[in-house]
Amino acid sequence: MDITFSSDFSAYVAIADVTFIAFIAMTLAGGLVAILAKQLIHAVLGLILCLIGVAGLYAFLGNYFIASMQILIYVGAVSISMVFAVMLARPPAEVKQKSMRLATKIALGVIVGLFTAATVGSAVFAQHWSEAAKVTKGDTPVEIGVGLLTHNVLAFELISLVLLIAIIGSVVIAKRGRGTGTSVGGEEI
Amino acid sequence: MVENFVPVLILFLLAAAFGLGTVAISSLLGPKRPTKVKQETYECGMVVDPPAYRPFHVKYYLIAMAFVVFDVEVVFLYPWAVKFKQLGLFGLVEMLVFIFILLVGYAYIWKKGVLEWE
Amino acid sequence: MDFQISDLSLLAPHMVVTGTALLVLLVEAFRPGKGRSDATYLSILGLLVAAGLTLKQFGAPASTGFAGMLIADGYAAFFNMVAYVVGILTLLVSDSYFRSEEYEHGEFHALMLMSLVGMMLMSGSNHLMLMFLALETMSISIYAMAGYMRTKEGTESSFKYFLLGGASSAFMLYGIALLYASCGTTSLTGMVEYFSTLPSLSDSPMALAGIALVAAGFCFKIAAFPFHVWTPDVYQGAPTSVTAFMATGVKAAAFAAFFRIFVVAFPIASGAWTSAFWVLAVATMTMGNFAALAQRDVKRMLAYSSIAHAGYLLIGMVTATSEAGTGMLFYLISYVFMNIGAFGIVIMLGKKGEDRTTLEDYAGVGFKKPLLGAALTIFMFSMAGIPPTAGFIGKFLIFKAAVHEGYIWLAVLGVLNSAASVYYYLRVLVYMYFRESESESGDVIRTSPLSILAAAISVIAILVLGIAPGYLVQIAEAATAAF
Repeated sequence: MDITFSSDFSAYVAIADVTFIAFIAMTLAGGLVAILAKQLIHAVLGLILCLIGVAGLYAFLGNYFIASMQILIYVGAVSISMVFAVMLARPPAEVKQKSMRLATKIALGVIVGLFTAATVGSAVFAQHWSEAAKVTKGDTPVEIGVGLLTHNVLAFELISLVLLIAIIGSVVIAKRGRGTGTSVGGEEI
Repeated sequence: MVENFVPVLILFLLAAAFGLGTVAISSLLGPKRPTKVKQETYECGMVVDPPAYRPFHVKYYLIAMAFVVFDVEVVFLYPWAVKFKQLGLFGLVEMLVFIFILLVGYAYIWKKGVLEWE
Repeated sequence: MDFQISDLSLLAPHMVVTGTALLVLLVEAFRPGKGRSDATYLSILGLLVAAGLTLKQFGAPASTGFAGMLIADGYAAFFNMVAYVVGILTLLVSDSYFRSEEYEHGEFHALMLMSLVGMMLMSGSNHLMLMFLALETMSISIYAMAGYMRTKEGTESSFKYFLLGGASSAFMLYGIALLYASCGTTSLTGMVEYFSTLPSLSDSPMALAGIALVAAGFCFKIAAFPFHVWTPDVYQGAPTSVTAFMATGVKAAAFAAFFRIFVVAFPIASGAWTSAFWVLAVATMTMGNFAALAQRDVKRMLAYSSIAHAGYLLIGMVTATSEAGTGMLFYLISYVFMNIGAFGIVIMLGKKGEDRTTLEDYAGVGFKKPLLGAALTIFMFSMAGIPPTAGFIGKFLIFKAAVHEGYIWLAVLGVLNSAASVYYYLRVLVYMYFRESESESGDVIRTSPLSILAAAISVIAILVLGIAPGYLVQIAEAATAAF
């Protein structure tokens, strides 16, 4: 059998389209699982699926660096810390919904969602789109590196400050018990 | 561009189909004779004592947070490293400032005993 | 174009504050200790040095640096000064709190200083990405500060602020993304160029949607009407010094970026946003004032009053002239003094482990602690806008600018609202001077020389600005002349 892997092979384009739709479906399905899951840990797993879908979309747009970073940071690191946060929590008690009836909640959510979708959607369709600048198919990590360290250097350095705040903040919130000062030590929370 | 990855995708699908297929076949064809003991949670042969769902200590979370922060730092190192020569001394200084600020955070969590595990 | 070493001089004050934060953090890590004030002195010293560097930027012509991302002009210098004032006063009023509660405060001061860096960059950012990062720098520090005491209320307050703040950041980021999609840039200069090529904004509805979402994000941070719901709970639950910090610092920085971005970059949409802000301003003032009337807790009352103040400041956003900007700048600095001053008194009237914040706790305070009572009286007068205080001049300048632009009804509604607000501000005074206290509550107070200094500075500033506002008005006029 003789298969040539050339990019003008139209079946490839069709497969790529199917992949695109699959990534969208994965993102939406993951989001739905994250919202609807009864168990907290299932919600986190749904979120992971959603984030993988987004990574796929980045890859689809040709930005493989961002896609791999999405996997590395969000799917790898952030999700792990979410799993830890779930493990910190006490075993879930029976979920009570006293404040508002579920139907009311769903109705309100649907109204707000439809309103947002209608507003942004109508804006998108009414927009006079000019042709997008051709994306240079360069080496994305190189472009990002040069961009970060030349004209975006101030934002880049500020990111380190945000990260520092994140780490101090988590220590301040998590480690210091009331009045116990530096060491919470080995006591169970 | 994306079309070039279609062979990779096909490989991916084949791998997934093989993995899922073997599990599916064994669960379809294998005999099932459940007993009470067999259905218990498997914990390395030990008798399962406390329920698995219980709160963990907060230091796991702090380690996870530190991991996330320094993971993000490494991500920013990578695009700099691939263009290290072009960015030159100036890029090096910028990156050192970036790392220094996070290093202060590292010294802080170290001295605060976040990394200690007794 | 990209970056010159000379750009660093624009960033010098920010670098000094950041360096101080890192130093305080390292001192706390390597020499921890309770009850010492050296972190406080170190932080104040850092802020004073930064203030000295900023002073030099006042007369200088506006210049941009870091590839046009950061702008250093009189406006940014003014708000940097506001940030230092907020920082120093918060440090001073926290002193008695940390002494009585015996907490370490190194991390607190470090987080606060880094939050100040975020505030300073917000007023100086000429680029939406930098503005957003600065906003997050400011906000994330405050989420941690609100939960610093690990009390039940504090944690709840921190968590509520974090969740809603995260949602509002998402709105703002979505708006920035839509603006980027339509303009192809997020630099203010670039957006001005893009909008100047458009015949009208109806050619770019997506940019309008983006502007609306960015406005929603800002309205959350300033606690304007439909986005204010978090304010009372968060302000009440957070440690009082953090409440003072976020009521003043966040509001000033958010208004700084809000005004600059909308007046500089989005004048094309001014027809849309002035009418929207008109409604928001009236709703915010009215809602804040009427809800404050019903409060029995002083911290909660001050939270609703801060919503009302956001409403008065929104009148300046509607007017959107440089005259209105002058009024907003003056209003914000006087708001900083009277609000931190008032919260400082609230801290001092509490005792260890217990904030005494109900109106009944204030009964008889005016005679037991005459000086604290007198100071609180002046702060309440200033908040109500009664002359001769700074609060009066601020309101006057904002309403005057609105009338000059023909927003007479808006000014009238503002004046009526101020009149209504007098009731609940004076009620505190009625309790202080005309009610007998049932317990010896007024006797136990947590105080320290530094906190008394903060109250004294605030009182003097309010009176000086109220009696002789001319000098500061000139500075504010120079700062907003470019708009």
